[in-house]
Amino acid sequence: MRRRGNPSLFIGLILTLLVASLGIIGVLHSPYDPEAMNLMQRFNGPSLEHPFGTDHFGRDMLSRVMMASGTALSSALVSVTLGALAGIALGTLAALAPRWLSTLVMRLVDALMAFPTILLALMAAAIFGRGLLPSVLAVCISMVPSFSRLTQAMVMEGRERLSIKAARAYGAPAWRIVIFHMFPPVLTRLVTQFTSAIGGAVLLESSLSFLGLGVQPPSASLGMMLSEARAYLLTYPWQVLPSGITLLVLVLGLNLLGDGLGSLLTRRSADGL
Amino acid sequence: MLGFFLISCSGGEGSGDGGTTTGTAAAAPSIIRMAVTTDPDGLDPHATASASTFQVTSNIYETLVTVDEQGVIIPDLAESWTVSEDGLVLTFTLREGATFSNGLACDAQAVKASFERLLSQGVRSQDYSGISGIDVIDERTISFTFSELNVSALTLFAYPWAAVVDANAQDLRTNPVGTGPYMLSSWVPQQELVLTANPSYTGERHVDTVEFIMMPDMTSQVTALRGGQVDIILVTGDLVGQFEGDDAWSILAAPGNGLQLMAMNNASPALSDVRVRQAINHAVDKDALIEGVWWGYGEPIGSHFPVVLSEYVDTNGLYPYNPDRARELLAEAGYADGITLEMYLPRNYQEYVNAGLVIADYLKAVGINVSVQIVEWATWLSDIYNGRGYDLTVVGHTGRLDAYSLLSRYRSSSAENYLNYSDPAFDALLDEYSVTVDEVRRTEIAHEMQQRLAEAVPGLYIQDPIQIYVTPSSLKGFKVFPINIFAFNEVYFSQE
Amino acid sequence: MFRQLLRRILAAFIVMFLVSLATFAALEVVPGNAAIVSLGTEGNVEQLAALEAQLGLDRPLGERLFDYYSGLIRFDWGTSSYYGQPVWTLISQRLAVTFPLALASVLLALLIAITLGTVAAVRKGGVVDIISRSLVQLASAMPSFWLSLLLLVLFSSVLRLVPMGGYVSPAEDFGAYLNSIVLPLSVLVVGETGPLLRLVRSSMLEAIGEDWYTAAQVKGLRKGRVIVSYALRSALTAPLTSAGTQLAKLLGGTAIVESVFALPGMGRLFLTAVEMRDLQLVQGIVIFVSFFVVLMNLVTDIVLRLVNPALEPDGGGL
Repeated sequence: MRRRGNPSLFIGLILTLLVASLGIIGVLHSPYDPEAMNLMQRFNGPSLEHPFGTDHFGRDMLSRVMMASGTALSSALVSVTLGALAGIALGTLAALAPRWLSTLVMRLVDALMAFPTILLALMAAAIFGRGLLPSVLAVCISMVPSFSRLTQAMVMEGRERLSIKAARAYGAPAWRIVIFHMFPPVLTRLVTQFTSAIGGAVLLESSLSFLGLGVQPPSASLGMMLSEARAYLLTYPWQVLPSGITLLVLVLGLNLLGDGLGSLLTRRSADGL
Repeated sequence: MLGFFLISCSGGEGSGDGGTTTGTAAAAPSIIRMAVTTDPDGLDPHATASASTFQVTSNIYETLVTVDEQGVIIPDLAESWTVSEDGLVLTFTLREGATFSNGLACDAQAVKASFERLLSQGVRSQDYSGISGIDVIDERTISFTFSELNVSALTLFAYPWAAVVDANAQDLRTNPVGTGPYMLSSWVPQQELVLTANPSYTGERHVDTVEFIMMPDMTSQVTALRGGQVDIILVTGDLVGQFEGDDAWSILAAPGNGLQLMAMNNASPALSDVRVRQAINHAVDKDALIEGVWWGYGEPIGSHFPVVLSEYVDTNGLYPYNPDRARELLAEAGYADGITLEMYLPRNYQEYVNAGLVIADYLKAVGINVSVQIVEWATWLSDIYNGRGYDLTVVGHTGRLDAYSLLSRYRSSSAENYLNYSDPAFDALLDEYSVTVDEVRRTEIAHEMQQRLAEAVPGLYIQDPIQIYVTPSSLKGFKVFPINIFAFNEVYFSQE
Repeated sequence: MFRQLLRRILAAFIVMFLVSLATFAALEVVPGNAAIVSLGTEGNVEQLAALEAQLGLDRPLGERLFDYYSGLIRFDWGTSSYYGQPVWTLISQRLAVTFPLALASVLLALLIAITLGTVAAVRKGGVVDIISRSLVQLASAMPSFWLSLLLLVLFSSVLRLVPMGGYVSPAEDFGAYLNSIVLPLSVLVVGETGPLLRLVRSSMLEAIGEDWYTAAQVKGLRKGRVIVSYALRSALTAPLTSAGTQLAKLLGGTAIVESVFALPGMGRLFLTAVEMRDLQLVQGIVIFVSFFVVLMNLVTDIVLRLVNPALEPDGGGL
């Protein structure tokens, strides 16, 4: 195989950092208060004062996009981390537990996959009240099945490997085998899955907030900004651009980053063997 | 592949245009299509309180009496009526030959059966609990006896939920049977509901088919109207510009009989202090709010009373926009350091959400920190309206025809008093209003009640919304009524 | 094999039962019910109680559950409390809108994925490969609702080629039908093509790398023939099964696209049913859609096992 650079990793990193730095700058110092309205300055097009223009309440769209990107990235990170941990735990359990238990776990995971995310988000909102938490939870739970399926498959595969069979023959306890022998080779694929899941989580969170579930106004989220802009599609169609482009760049960056990281790691581990 | 579709599409649309636009020598189109955002909540007028139902059912059923655009009571199923001297007995004479769409005669007996149905299983039966007897005098004459004087009794028979139905028909929700100009032809939820001419109806009717087309999105309604796929749409203020100055369209903008307010929970600690409520009223620039959210299409109000009703009195200007005064009042009430209030907004009503957010922004400026939560309509109804667990909320109410039924939700003991407003003097005024026959005195009481609300400001009264309908200019006879009804039998296309 | 299949089918029913129980739980937890929604802002406590009794909402949960499931066993899906129509009628009306759309989008996506994916794999690193991979990245990062809005602005608002939403049934006017679904279809195809194309490309690469492919080439068979009749055939299992699963998900999962384009499909029906707290209807849709998801998972597993008999059934003990 020809040895080449890793453009996916490079471009992905740049795009992700671009949006991430927007979010970080927004936390430190946004040009305007992202929630402050100015009804006299509605629907102003892009200008020096407002590079992304102003929205239907005269709020500065750049500041809102900054606020929203920060929220999008951090909530996706949190929900995927939690979802991955839960999924890995369930997957390991399913692979190692007695047959009846593992069947039960995997059918529960199936049920989770078939359960509508919107209902999940509504339920979480009813139990945990307002704000970001319910939507983070809903996204987190919907991340569980893919991680648990992957983990289960890999652990079962790994179980058949020689080193593990040897360790078992020597009488090593199960937890030791899992931590020292099964996880390291599995880690590569989990990391790849993790990075690409973040892109998916950003998309899912934004579509939930497009439907009005998730971050509550006056705070901004990318999906909510889009659904607000939708009402002015005939009169001010450019309103869908700032938040939409940011969302596209962010998800594109994260996906490329995931792919790049994946090929980097597989190459490393292939080299290492 | 994409290209192929687009080409075949534009062809399709072109031919569609030819079929729907007027101006051809052929007869005027015999169909009216109105875009609506939601399906009706069933077609049984006794079984729901939903405006979307009545806008349809008012064309399928008739009420004993109805209203004109000014809210004056006029004949409908009953061609005349008399009120006894003590005001307790109302006697109606039915139109001759009134027949249900299933061919059965609608005589006094049938009307009685319909009202018995309303009284026993209607969701509004409470409103009619004053009726103590229904007597069939002859085939075309029926009288209603009230246990106590109710000066607005006649209006009870005009509301669309008092429609006369065939009480023996099964499942009116999906198989309505009435005496109105139209009957149900088909209904595919979230798609369309089609009414066709009821052959047993002999009154005015110009168009044989009425279609309600469900389009949740306002922008799609506008393009559908332009493309000739619908004939009547209700638009928001920002979209009026799309049609203004073009002779092809007529714009009908009229204040509806409704009102929108930010309700406050008068039982919550901070808001039980009238000074805090006054401060909130001083803190908001109502004109800017109406301009910002409704593009100026609304009549500001100072009390819980739509401007279109005859007993309306102007109570605006009691608490003009004055943030400094608002801060003073808050300091007097002991909230110089600010307060935090919970605001709940119903998600399905974008304009209420927008209004709430604008108000929250104004309140922030005077030191009231508002934490906003947008909830689903069902949640809003359950937790806010019925559960009364809130500080602030923005909502609208549909109008009634008289001051009593409009204002009775402010009675301390009313189950509909979600503002938790309590004022014994106001309760006494309500009682007096309902038994006062003298019209001059009654109007005085109505004014006094409005004045009391305007002073005590249990809510921030925003506006009587102006409804804006857009139709092709060839469409005539479309009217806006002070209650939630449409009269499509009066609509026609002119041939000019 | 047969016993295993039986066990999987049983498990599938258990999954559906779990999903529907969870749906019941969700609607118990979420505030508001059908009676409250129906009364709106004009109701009071007495009217509410009366309507709840009329709708049977005042009965204990266990009783309602029992009624529902015993009805379901007799294929009685109940009546929608909001529309007053049988749940099954509503679902089948929606299916007429959603199914052709979902099927067409998956087929189109599959067609594009197989064509581009095969070329990309055979000419790895070539122009087609690079362009198609970039497009895949772009497509899978594209939020479907944003793409919908962009298409609406361009084709409806600016060019005025298609209406901004709404639906015409094909029986009424086929041209207008195509008109009303061309944009949503494009959005769905963009969303579906990405993952399928990746799958086709990677399994083609795998197939090409195998010994028999090299052998066939050495033997001098024409390259195109080898690719189409050998490599493609073995490489298509994964993308085809994945397309099946995507189709099943689409039956319930186009809520956003449907609501942006105002199509009367299953997803929008579901959103409305949840909004109106229409328990029977929510249940009906959830069970119907999860049936297809579970069925497709099952078919996928069976197909994969037939192709690769070495795979063990999941959950063998350690």
